[in-house]
Amino acid sequence: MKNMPANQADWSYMKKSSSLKMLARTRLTGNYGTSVSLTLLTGGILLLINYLENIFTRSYENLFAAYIFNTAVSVLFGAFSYLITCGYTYFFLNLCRNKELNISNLFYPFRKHPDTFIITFLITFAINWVITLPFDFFRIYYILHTENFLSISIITLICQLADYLATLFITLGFALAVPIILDNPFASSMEALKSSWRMMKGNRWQVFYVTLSFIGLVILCVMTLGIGLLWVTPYMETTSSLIYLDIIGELDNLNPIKESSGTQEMNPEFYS
Amino acid sequence: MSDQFSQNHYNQNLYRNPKQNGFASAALLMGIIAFFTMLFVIPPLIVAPLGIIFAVLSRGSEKKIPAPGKAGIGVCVAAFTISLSITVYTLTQVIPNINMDVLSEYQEKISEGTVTEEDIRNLYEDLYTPDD
Repeated sequence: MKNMPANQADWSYMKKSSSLKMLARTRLTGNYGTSVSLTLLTGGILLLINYLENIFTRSYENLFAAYIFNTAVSVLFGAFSYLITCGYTYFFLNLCRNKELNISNLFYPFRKHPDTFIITFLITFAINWVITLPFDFFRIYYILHTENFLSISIITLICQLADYLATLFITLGFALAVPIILDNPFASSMEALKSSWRMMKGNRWQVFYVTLSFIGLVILCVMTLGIGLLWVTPYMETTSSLIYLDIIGELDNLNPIKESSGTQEMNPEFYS
Repeated sequence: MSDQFSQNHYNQNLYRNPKQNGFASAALLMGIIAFFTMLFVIPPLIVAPLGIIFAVLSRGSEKKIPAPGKAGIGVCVAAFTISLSITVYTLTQVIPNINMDVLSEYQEKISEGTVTEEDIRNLYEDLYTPDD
């Protein structure tokens, strides 16, 4: 990543949400066919993984055993889903950089250092798990020791809300880890996560705002029974890739449409 | 977080894409489909939001939605509103006033095969009991 700003202060700005979204639409024009096909394929694979996960997930009389077993199943299938979503991100990163696009981009993380992606997933999963664990245990403890349905409902709601906020904070902090690994295949998971955390400082709210700005389209997608997601997901994913390129300072140096930039250059020295 | 680059400082070439997208026409088409299927209740409730999504995406590298896209939004919103109103009216006004006993009686007659032409002629009056 040649265009990575030298100091941390340079990372704390981003272009306006509307500008990023306009650029995303520009980049997608002429590429909707491939993007929609890829989204359909990705959705199908993720649904299949989810279906298999549901088959393996079981309910036990012992709540603790059920919790441990189901978490293990979630980790196993979640790792596969994570690799697929990393491939999906790779496709849209290539689209933004005006590089060659094909469906095989989806399986890129399976070919190049899948261990790095899986370790990244495990670390983020573990961090999320540890942070949400107290809320989960408190909720289970409360359910087991209280019979008042109303108070159980309120506590469950509060715990889930706290879970959600904690997960959101962590997810936003590590949002750039995947594109960093895709750009720097020789970087370790920890280096990528640390870099993402540093680069997201000062950008979290803007990224959250951009993500939240899609809520209207997502609501419309729900009304179309999910059909609209075939077009809206590529739009959101392209915008996310542009956010990453903007933060690393590569956005203004992108090639205009129809100018190929050749093969992506790797920079193993970046983290040294 | 401020946008330190103004639009003028952008690499303007980034925003140029000679390719046209067909979303504006698709939005208009969805609007027309929604409008003509308005009385079927369910299709416009799915097709109209899809038309609005296409209209939003039809902007491409422009700030404004092109004319067919705007027309599409208008027709989609109209069809959606009318269809939703019909659905809400049906659910709140018509269905609660249906005489369920008469309906069960008719169902029994149909299953036994004893329903007469006069029964069918009087079906609406017997079935629907308007508010007093």
